[in-house]
Amino acid sequence: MRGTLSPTGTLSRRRLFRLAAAAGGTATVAMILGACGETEVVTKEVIKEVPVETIVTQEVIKEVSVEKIVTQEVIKEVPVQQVITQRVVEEVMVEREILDISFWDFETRPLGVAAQDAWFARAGISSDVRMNREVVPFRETEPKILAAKAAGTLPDMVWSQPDATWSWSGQEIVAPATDALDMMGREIFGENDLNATAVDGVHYGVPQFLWPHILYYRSDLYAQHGLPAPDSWDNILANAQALNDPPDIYGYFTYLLDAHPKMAWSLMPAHDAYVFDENGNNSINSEGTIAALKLAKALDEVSAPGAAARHEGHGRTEFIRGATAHMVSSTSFSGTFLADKPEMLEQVAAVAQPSVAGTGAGLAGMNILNITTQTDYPDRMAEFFAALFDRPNYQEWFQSTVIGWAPTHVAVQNSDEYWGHPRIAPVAHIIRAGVDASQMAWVGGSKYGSKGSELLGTVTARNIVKDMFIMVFDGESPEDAAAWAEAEVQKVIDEN
Amino acid sequence: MRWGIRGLSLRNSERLLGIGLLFPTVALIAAVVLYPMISTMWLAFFDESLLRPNDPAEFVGLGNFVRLVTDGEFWKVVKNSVVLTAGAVAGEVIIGMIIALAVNASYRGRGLFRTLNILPWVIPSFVTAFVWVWLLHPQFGPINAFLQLLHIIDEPIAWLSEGVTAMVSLIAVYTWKGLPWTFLVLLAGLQTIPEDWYEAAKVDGASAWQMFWHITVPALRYVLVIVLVLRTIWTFNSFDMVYLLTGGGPARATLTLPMQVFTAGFREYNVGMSSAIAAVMVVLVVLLSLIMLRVGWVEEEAQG
Repeated sequence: MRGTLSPTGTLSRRRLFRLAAAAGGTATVAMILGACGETEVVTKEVIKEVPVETIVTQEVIKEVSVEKIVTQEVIKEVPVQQVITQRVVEEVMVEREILDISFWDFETRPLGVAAQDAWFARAGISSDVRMNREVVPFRETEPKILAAKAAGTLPDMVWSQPDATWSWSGQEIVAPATDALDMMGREIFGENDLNATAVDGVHYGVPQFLWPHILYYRSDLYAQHGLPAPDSWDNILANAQALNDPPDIYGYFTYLLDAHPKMAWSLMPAHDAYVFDENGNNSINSEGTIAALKLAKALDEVSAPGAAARHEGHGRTEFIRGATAHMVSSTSFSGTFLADKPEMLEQVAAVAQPSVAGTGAGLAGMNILNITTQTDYPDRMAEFFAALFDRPNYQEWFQSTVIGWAPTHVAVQNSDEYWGHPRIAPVAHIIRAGVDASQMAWVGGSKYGSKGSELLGTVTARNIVKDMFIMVFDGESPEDAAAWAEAEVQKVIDEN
Repeated sequence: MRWGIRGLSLRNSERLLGIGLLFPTVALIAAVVLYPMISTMWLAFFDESLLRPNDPAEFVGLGNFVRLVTDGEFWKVVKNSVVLTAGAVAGEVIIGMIIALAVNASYRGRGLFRTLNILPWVIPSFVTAFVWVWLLHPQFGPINAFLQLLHIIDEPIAWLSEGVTAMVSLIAVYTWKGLPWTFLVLLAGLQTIPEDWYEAAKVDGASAWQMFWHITVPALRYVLVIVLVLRTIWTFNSFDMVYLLTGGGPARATLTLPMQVFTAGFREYNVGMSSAIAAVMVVLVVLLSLIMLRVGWVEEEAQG
């Protein structure tokens, strides 16, 4: 057979050529392919890597999606948390029992008691507190509080005036009202009022209401005589002298028989004169005191005979019957007008007492609510206080209680609704004068510090300030009277 | 039937019974009189204030008394108390005697006059005080109006506002208030004097003054001493009218010892000092009483 490979491996020439050609071609192709194949493989690898990177990128994108899912889960968890929160609140409401707390109070007037009980009850609803009021007469408050402190039987809440708050804070009877004030906000009170409760920057009570002493004068007589409105003590004295026409009408009324000689307490701060300085040192014998005594003497000379030996109530009677042109009295006098002679309110004007020294003017009585150091529920008391001074609750109380107090709550002081209330509107011009007066008035012990405030009670009990003024009215020189008072105050300091 | 306790003689049992019956009364007096009195005396030696309940009372010996007697203001208060007491008691006795002598005579309307005289005694003190505050009122008081009507004064007097007039007013009010009791006691004394003493004196030509001085006064000696002692104690210790009328003012012109006890104890809460003033009061009242009793006793001895 031709051209076939013999079984022994012998090839024909043609077949060998064909084989060689085929091999050569294959080799050539292989060589071409081999040469080209190396380049193409690298290129392919790059191409392949790109998709791999893309896949990685896709994985990142997927991870983002996973994060979104997580975010969605969080969003779902929030409602779950809210549900939990709601449950907690519900549980607290169920678990909080109504607390019975005790309060030693001085108020006995039926209207005042009813309004206050309602005020406390409204505050008690939101703080789950039931107030049990026990009446302790005004004069017995101090010894009872001190005895209760020693015996560990203080009530949860007491009322005080600024000097008592200062004194009791030093004796750890009243606790800081910081939490309560934080809850209600300090800005709801006037600065002067709030400062009266602060000892070394810590507030020991919450200002409840004011009864500032203001100057009442007969606006109808002023108009008749063409007198300028009273805006300084010189001006007041001149007007009092001008209107003095005894025995029909006296220019002024210098009453001093009350336990607290308010006329003296009013004239002294106007001259920057105080019994003690802020460290409790004797400061009564000062230029200011002597100036106040001289002014008082001049005012007494145009007062009704024996006025100095009479009470504030007598002065009010004289004023209401038209026999006095000027007198200093508290805003509570407005209630007397309403009750006894409402038609006279149109003839009466009132202004804040002017200052002479520019640092103080007049006296402002202020009631303070205090939480005691022996309460078992300081947190709940703070809540209760916050509810008491919640503006609508406070305003409702103020509109329904006895007429004659000035509010301490600034929002109420600025409330048209309050001033326009039918019970307040007739005396609004008087109460407004009281609010004005409270900006600069001497609010109790706030000038004397703890020590001076503690001693002030003894000074008052011994009538030292009152007698100093009466000595001048009886002919003693202001300098001698002030020196006598200084010696008497020093006795009080030395004895204590 | 013998009434006694077994095992004891009758005399001893009677004694025991007497003591037993007496015991409740003595115990009551000890509880409500002796204990407070001794306690007050005891407290006078301590510096104790109700305003310092956590501080234990400090024993100061005679410290409170030394402080009192070295304080010029205290002696003014003692003087006020003595002046008020002396003025009021003298007024009561003199006027009381005149009224008693007048009422002791026989005339029409004597019963009505006696009844009217007792009225001030039955009026509560605070009512008396308010009535007198208005009677003495410088503007509206009828006393000023009356004096002005008679041209005794030109300007109204502020009776309770000036030192001297305030004390005079207090003496007048105390006299008015205490007069009925003094008058009744003196009248009772007068009615024990036998009428024939006066008749005998008249026969001897004695004048009214001689009869009064030599019969009435000696016969009333015991009554007068009792009146003087009791009225002095009561007036010296009196608090209410001073408190209600002047409050111790003006400028302490009428401040008396009881007012000062009140001020120290219930306004300053200085229990130690208040007790010391009270102790001084007790001593002064006992001294005054002893002097008056002694004078009466000496008079009796001299005459007897």
